[in-house]
Amino acid sequence: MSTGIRSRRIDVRVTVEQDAVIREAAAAAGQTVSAFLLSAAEGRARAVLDERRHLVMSDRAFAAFAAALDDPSEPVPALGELLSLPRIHRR
Amino acid sequence: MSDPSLVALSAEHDLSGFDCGTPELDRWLIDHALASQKADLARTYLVLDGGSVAAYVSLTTGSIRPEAAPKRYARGMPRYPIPTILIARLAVDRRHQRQRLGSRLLAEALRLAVAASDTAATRLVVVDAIDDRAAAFYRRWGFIDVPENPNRLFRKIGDIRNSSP
Repeated sequence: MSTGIRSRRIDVRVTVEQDAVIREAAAAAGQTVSAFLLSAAEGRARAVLDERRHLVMSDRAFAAFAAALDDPSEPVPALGELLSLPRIHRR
Repeated sequence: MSDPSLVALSAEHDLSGFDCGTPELDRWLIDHALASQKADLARTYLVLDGGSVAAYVSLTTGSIRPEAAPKRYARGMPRYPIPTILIARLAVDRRHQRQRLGSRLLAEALRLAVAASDTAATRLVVVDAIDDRAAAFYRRWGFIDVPENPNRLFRKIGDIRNSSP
């Protein structure tokens, strides 16, 4: 999935049973244990991050939500107040 | 607080003492923010007061989509996910809390989101509130709950643009 130099290590201790099941699954998938662990963990990691970034709605809620976005934008007093606070200047 | 400044995170910043009271947000800044930035997964901006980090915000992109597979989309329903700019994390160090610094940083984050949308159009800003208290903070500034997604709130980029004084 990723390219780049593998310059970091992650050490994980496993039980005898976990070691056996992972080795068997890696062999079944035709991968080395290290490639198997890496692809499984990276896939899971990306799924967890995606879950936070990408939101899902029921079809009915999404249709109403998307339609409401076409309403004209209007000034929001609370946002106006927020944007009137003293600036934090870029450096 | 004297005159704080906003800077893009870089390797030169010492993040180690950051303490906002929520360990998850501290650990992310200290352990992951720079790696996420290098991998183009998130951009982090720091509020510096003197030499120390008083607050941070991280921005990334996201989307909102319906759960159905595309072929099942109802007629007339938008067929594509709605792209969003996501304010993924915003935290203020304990020593700088209760001075409206978080609100001022939110305002700067919204300006960054509008600028990003000026370059590559995005319709929405979504915020990921870490708990109910954070969600109340965003509601107080005019954010609206995203249906069916607890502690996610949004506002249209156009609303933010039109609310600028």
